[in-house]
Amino acid sequence: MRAQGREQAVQSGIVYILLAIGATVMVGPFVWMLLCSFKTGYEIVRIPPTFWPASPTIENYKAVLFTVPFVRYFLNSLLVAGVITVSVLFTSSLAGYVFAKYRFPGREFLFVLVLSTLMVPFELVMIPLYLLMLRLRFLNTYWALILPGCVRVLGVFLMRQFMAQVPSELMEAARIDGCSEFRTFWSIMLPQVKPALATLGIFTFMTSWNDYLWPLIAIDSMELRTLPVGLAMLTTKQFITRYDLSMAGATLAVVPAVVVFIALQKYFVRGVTMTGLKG
Amino acid sequence: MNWQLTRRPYAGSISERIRRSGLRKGSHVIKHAQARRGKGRTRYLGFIILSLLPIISLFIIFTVLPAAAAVVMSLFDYSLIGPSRPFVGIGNFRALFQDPLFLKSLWNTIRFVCMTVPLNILVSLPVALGLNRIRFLRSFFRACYYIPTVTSLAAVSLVWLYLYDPATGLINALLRTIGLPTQSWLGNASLALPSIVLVYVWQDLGYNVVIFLAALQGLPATYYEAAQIDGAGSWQLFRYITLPLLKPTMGMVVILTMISAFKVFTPVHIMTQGGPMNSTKLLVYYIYENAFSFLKMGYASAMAVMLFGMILLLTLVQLVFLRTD
Repeated sequence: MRAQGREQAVQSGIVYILLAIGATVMVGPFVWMLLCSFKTGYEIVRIPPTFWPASPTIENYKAVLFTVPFVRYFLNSLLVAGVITVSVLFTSSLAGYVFAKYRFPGREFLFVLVLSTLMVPFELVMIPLYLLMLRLRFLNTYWALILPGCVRVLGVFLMRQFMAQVPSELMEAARIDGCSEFRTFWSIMLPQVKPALATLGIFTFMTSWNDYLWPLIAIDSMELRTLPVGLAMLTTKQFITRYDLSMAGATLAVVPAVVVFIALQKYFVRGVTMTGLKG
Repeated sequence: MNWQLTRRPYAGSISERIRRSGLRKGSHVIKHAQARRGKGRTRYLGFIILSLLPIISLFIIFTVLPAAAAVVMSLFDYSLIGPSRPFVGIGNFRALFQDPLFLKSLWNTIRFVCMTVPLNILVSLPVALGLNRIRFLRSFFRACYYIPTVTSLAAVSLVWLYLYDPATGLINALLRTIGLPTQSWLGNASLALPSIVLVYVWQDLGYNVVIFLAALQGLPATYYEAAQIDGAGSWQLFRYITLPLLKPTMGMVVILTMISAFKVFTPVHIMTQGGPMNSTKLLVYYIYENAFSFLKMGYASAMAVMLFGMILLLTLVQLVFLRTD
């Protein structure tokens, strides 16, 4: 019995060591990014590289924040992702509520129509969408960034599942008390699905915050670029392999996401495991 | 107590009761009573239309119609700058199969998917098994593996661009210290694609770890107890209990990982721009180039339709999978 216990302890020891090695590989690049963001332009290209910054400097951050409109990129991303998230939460929960709780002719058809768009990859839609935005003169405006993201199929599907679980008696009670249909939805049903809203909101925000392909296509002007596109331009367009600047820029983009993730970890895990949402 | 006294007398038909109650016609109580009775008829149609119309319209304008337009455009020689846009039927598709760059990008994409999916599963499943085994620090380790997933692929690509740098990058520096030959990771045509696979798997891994871990935690303990009483070892437990029970999760994970690997764009655009010698030119990157650099939008749409076809096929396979399990 004791031998078995020892064997178990050795086994879990090995598991811990392997997991720690893996975790180092996962987190290591970020640590390296953070360290290098404080190195000078000379030190960052030194061979062999130094581990600790020899003379830590915040010049890279200053350069990124003030010579490149990085703050503007950040605010653009915040605005776009914020508006999209509010809109997706509202439209998904309202549509989910109607699909879950009302009977009307064509309900199944409409729901299948909405659901079938889940299979359509963005890559198929992007060219006609670009031409549509061109025709509407929305290219190079916030409209181009926001409008296509305002509704999300997965959100409607998800909220329909959650709304269906809320007992219909609540709705009926509200109606007897004289609530309008919208008010029943807004003040009675919506508070019942708060955890689902939190999960959907976080994933929608993350997806939109990290989106790269569409903002790259839809935006030409420097002032309207979102964070990922602005970041990529740091190396590809404005500076040629200025690693000092790109590490500082990447740090500014990565740190908020990691902080939000650590603060809201349980919602992330729930989102992935319960709904298959992908950020 | 006499039950006859507490029992309510017959109250009459609904319309009689409404009349007797003195409620006004059109009162919400009456509407509600009528709504409960009239199951077959649609109530609150105004509200339903008002709330669904804007949402469905947005879906139609920004997804359904553009998708249909893409299919139509793939049949035209649609260039943004050309004076005419002649109908060419399946001409674009025929031209695709004579375009060595398209064939190359298709082949690269297939290679990319075939490297990404097994590598992802081979790492994420053991990590999930390990996390499932430990008690102490479990959520800490899970967070470590999930962190790359929440960060933007663009930022991550910048970091790896520096790590891969042949002269100043950390990876070659580490190789040098242990005496191994250094490599030009992104500059070598045979190494560039696997290098991008590595970045992509590293970034995408945490998602599958969390899914596998949740599935493992949901497996019934009784099977394991029974097998242990029968003297099964760890490997046998894994091979004959865990693996078969994970089959549905595995099917879903494989398909989802495949679909997202088919659509990879960001790391290619930031790290290699399709080079060297087109060795990292993936399908979506080639679509992007054709549509937005060469403005050959009909041709690019034909490619997008083919990508859609492949993804649709995978989705249908997934549906069949879910039905049988």
